[in-house]
Amino acid sequence: MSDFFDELNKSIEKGKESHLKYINYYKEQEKNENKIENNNESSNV
Amino acid sequence: MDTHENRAEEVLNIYNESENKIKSDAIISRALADKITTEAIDEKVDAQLNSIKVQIHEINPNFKDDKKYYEIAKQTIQDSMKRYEDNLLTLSKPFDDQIEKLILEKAEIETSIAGDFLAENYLKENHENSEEENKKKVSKESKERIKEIDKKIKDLNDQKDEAIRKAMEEGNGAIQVNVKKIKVFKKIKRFFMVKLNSYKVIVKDVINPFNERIDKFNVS
Repeated sequence: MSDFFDELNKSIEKGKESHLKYINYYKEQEKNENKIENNNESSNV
Repeated sequence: MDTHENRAEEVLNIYNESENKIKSDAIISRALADKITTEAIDEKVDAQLNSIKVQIHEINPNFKDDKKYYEIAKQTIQDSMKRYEDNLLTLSKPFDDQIEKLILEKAEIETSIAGDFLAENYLKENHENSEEENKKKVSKESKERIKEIDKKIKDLNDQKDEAIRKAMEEGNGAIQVNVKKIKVFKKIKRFFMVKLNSYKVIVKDVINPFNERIDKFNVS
């Protein structure tokens, strides 16, 4: 079954290839949102 | 937390939940295939063992008291049962391998479909609608393929179950659970069997025919 888990992760990664552009976009957006939130919190302190 | 400011986090959370569900579903499907194999083999091995016990009892109900030959017969039957079980595992493996491939293909397609959610959000946010129709078309084809895969997995599980149950059986392939089918020896014959040496009779009438069925079995 451990081989199956490895293969399953590979399949999921393969499935992600079609929309990697969007994953990366939202990850980048998330980072920016967190930065803004942290800045707001530190300016409030 | 300001929901507007954490829009990307929300979108990613929904996407990650989909990914986790895809993984769980795949693991459950794989475990179910294993369960079907294990249950069918266990049932068959138990039935075969019971059948042998009944046959030995018919030959000599007190065979257990003959410690020397009982231990020899027990060891021989255990070895045969091991080969019997190995044959069943060999038989089920190609079915389970095919099922596993289909499960992995399904996980890949579902992950790709989950990406449509990200794409739709992205296109709306960035006012890019040109790809949208094409995406929907691809998803429709993918969903049809998933339906096909589900049906194939079900069929393969059913075929595997049937193949295991029919393997190494005599005649119509029914599992040897029916005690009535076992040859009932007449009292007089049983008397001579006990006198002559039950072990020899057990080897000739029970163990050898069982081993023949195991040896004849060809997984193809």
